[in-house]
Amino acid sequence: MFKFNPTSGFLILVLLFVVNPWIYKILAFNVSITLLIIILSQLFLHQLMSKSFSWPHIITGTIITILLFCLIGIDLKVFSPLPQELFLINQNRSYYSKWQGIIFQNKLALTIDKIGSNFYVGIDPNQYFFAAHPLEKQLPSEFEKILWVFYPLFLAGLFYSLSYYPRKLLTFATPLLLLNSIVDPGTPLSLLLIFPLIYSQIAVGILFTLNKIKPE
Amino acid sequence: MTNKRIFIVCALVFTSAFFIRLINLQNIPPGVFDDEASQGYDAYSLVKTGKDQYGQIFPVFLRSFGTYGSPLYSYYSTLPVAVLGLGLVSLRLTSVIFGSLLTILTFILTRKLSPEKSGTFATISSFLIAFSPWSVFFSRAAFEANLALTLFVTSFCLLLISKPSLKRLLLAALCLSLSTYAYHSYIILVTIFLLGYTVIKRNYFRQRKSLLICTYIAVLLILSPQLLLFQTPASNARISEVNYSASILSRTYSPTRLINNIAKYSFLAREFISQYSAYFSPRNLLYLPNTDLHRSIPGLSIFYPWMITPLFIGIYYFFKISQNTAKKLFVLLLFASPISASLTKDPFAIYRALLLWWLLTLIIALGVNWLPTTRLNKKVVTLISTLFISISLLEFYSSYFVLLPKSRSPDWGYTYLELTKIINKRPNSHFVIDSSRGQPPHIFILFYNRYPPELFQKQSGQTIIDKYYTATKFDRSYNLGNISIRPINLGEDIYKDQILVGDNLTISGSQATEHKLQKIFTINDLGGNPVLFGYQTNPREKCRFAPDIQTNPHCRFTD
Repeated sequence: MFKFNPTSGFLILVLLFVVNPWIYKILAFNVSITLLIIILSQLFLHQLMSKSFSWPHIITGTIITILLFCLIGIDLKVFSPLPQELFLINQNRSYYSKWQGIIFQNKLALTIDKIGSNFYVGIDPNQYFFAAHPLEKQLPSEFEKILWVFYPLFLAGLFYSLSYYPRKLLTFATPLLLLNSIVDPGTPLSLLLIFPLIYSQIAVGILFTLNKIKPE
Repeated sequence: MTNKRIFIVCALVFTSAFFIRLINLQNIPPGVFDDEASQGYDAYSLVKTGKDQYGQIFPVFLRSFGTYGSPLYSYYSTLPVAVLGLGLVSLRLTSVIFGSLLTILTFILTRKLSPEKSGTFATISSFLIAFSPWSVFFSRAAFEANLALTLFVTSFCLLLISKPSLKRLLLAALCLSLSTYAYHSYIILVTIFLLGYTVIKRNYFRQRKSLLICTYIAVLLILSPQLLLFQTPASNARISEVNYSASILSRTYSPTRLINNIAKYSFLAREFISQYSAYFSPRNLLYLPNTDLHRSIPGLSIFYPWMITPLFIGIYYFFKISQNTAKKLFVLLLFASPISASLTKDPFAIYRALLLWWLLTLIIALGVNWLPTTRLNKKVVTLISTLFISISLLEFYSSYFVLLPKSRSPDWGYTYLELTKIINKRPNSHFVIDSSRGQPPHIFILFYNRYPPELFQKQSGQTIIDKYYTATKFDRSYNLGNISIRPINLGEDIYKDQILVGDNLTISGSQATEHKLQKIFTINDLGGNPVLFGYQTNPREKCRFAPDIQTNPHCRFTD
């Protein structure tokens, strides 16, 4: 475990913001969201790497997360099926006997399926580093958010965090991932709630790597 | 676990695996897809003539559609085809047997490697393999990758369950080498595995160099037919078809040579890493159904979404296991298994990285094994397990046994099976089947009609035999008795008395009216959608209304 320097962490995050295209997309969309996301990322990294919980930081982080969630908005399509989805349900239902059709093809299953879909989109690294390639659908949310050369550093950071702070990481990441499951995945602002998680892990990866290669 | 209990568990696992792989095999999947039909017809041809469908004796690669597939599946299928005759069951029996054997191998390996005496982990692992939708799916059709996986796991077992002796090493070398004849992509995996195994066991082999030399010689000897053909188009046909490097490297990104080269290799690296990363993406592994219509189950991903919890628990416990040869080899294979698949442009082609599925299933089993060790009440554990097993089995039943046949029957050649029945009822009519798009129809006719291979070999001619490993260009026109398979040419075909068969793009409604074609049959898929249409031509009627009847050479009838 290396000693975390908050100033280095801050500078690395700023550098990551500047060199990666994601923040500019958000900036073009909404300035207040950009500011909130930058603050949240700094708080996330600081809390993840510090030895103790700082309640003011956690409360601020929670308020910012809720604010961001309200600004992005819930994906209403999750709860109300589209006409083409209803058509597909009815078509598939005809393949079964009557009672089986109701069990296997229904609106509740569709809602669960959509929430699951949004959740798994959130934890797909290719969404962030490769614009969803090789399984892209060309949705507005599918753009190269972070340069792919940072991918190994992200993995290093994730590996480090899971080795040394698994509980902290899970505690912070789980609410963000769950909230992201009901955010519309088809807008440029989707996956925004995962932003602090991804950037903090890259920053940890960079710090970890620098610490490894630093001469004694 | 006593020997008697081990035997009972093994028998139970194998029987249930065999049963679920064999049940209604004749009808689900509802036909064969082109590659599968080609494998089956090659096996039939080998039984009847001792040569493949083109007349080549002991082919190292099967020419098929100019794709040069791996031959081992067809060789293995000769026995069931010889005994049962050519059909869906006989073609798929090899896959069923090898898929079921995989569960036993998994049990033996995990039982040996796991320190626990109860054998729970081994039982969970083998049952997860036995009832995994993907294992069942790949075992219920002629997929070479399934055969290759079982051969590879056999060698893995032989090398890990006890100290390597000459006999074991030679057997492992045989299985490893054969796996490359079963599926092309294993050549990379086998090379990495052999080198990795040598490095990991270097201290053991330092005193026993002769063992290692014998193993490598055995591998090279068995691989020599493939190595001798290494420079031929046959050896490279598949990789050049599916690899993306040529298209990336041929582009010009900048007029400056240095920048151009940097850009080229940077794009190549990006492509490879993105493809490789996709094989470890939780979304692809646990949620997203595969896009390949022939090699996937509708609506089902590789693992069930709920398996995310045991997967991560399994990873956590896996890292806690102390370092040993098995763990090192396991990690090596985990990272090496998607390499060859990542070199292809098909996104997340799990059938090319089936070993990854097997390794991850073992990790999930490790996570599931943790559940009984928690402080949870036994009744709660039973309830949770029953709930998830029931949901999973219902989902599997729904996707595989209902949705697959209903929604994908045209992709599985079902419509050609129906067409063959119609053709056989009309032996005096001449049929023209359009082959300008999609899967090559001739292979379905050959397969479903059990067309005599010696007749088909005569039609292919000596030219292909002379250039067997270089003739990559595939011909889409064939004459099989009263059936012509070629692209339909309406300008000429409407003036002959025959039945034209094609899909909705071959002949439109207005074309049928204009050319006096009479629709005599429609073949629906199992979902009730029309797929193939048969039109009876009416040359006399067409000529009667033709403005150029005097000059049109097609309108000169003899009677």
